[in-house]
Amino acid sequence: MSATLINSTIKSRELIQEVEIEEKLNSMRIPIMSGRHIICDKEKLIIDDRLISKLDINYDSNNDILRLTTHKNSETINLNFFSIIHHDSYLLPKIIIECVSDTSLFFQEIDLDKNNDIEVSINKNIEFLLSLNSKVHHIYISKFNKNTNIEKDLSCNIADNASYEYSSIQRPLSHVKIDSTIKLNGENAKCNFAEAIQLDEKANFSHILKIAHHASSTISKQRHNLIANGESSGKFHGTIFAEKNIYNIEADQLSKNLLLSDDANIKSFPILEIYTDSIRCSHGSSVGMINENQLAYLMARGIEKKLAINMIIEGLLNDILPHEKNQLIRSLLN
Amino acid sequence: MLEIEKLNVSVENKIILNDFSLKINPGEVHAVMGKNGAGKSSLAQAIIGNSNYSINSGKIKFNGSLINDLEINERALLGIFLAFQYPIEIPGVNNTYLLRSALNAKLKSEGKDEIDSFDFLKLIKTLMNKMNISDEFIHRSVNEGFSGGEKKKNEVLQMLLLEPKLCILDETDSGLDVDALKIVSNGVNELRDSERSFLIITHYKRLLELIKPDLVHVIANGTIVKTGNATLADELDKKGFDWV
Repeated sequence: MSATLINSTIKSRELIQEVEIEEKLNSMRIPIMSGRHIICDKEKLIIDDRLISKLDINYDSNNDILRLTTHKNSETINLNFFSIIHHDSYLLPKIIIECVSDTSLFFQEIDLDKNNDIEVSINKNIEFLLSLNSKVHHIYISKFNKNTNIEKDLSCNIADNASYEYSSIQRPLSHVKIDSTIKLNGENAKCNFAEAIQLDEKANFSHILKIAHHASSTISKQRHNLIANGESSGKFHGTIFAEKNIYNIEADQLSKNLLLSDDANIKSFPILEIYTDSIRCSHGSSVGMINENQLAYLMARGIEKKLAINMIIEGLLNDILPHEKNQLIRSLLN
Repeated sequence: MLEIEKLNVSVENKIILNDFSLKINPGEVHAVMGKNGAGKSSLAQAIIGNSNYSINSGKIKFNGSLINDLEINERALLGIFLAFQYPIEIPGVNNTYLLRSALNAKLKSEGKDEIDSFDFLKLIKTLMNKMNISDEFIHRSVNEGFSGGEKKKNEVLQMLLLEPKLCILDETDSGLDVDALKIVSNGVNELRDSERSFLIITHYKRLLELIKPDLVHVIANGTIVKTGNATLADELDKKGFDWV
């Protein structure tokens, strides 16, 4: 079944008030683009036809796949994907986002929840297909309470001269499991992957990430900041893979982890699978308590200990999105 | 203002300061010189209350009150400021956030209202102009990616903003070129008045030519071994420290 196309059913300004919209429409997700929107609720998919000018949108209901494809020669597309999780558990369709040659996309994905009293589970599966010279900047922000659990698959295939940048801040109090696979398939393909996760209470976070270099002159950079408080636990399992018979590879991975309580734990597994000699590769991982020198420096300026610790923690989060101007994201970060 | 009496300080059971005594009156500028490892920076850290430095015995008094047991931020709020020898990098925390938080902590301790964003930016830009610091500087993460000179300027910028009663400069001249040294010393001299005191730690006399000290102390093995006027710095520059 192809997508059902109908005219806009809500005004774009209403999208600003996410919670109210959610209550009105009882919808599960609201992707919007510059005020245009797709609304998917339990029964139907509603697509604002104004989106069609910039994206091809197809929904395969048999396989439950929503496919968004940029138009060739289109300007940079801003695609915002908000999810306000409320009172139900559901399986989202797989979303495939395809950037055709020479197009660029700014994809902002935000998952929030209300204070659910019952347990909610969500599955997300997003795949990016980046063609020649295309560019994607993907920002993912999530903030979940203890009853919202999420499992997410993220994959990205990057062709020649294309680049994928991922910046994520996540603050779950729940169970989060992410599997990511990034494939640098074309020459000069680039990936910059950065995330900061703040865990508290009994949150349980796991991210298994593989960045695979399949072509020459490919570059990958990874940065993972994990902060664990309370009785939370976090695991990062990151692999850099480079196949044989490719050359001039650059791959960097840095995992900086901060433990804020005796009952919290962090496991970090930086793994290299390198089958070529033509590579410049670095990786590092650290797990520790608050840096005493940083703390002393801030306190020496009269800042009380609690605020100084918060500043250092915020710093680890902000370090991932240093130039983010979006007010919603800034408010989530702070 | 500052009275240190027979202070014994250790780090990881190693004695750093040994029966150290020093008195600095309001308005005075004291210089402390000495070889590497003599205990100069340890003195600064002990005064500001760095918890890595254990006071085994002795007293540190500030304006007549014993401060041995005060936390580092409590001492800062009394008006003790250290321009660090090696300013610490704090990724992700921008300079504006640090500067405004520090100023607001001070204002709060004085029972005053916090400064609003507009007034703060106006104030900090005035001070940055004095220090010849560019606008983008305050939007960068604290000391991250700063050159040695920028870090030292940032320390003096903080000092100008907070207007402390006792300013301790720990080798602020190291890493500065001639022009930056003049800018930094001008900033320090601007703060000099009859109430504010300075403790300047340095190896070289070049900073003391721009900031004239009232007294110069030579420290060795954790204690003062010689005190003189500003000419002592000239003598040390010619003869080195071994003759003391």
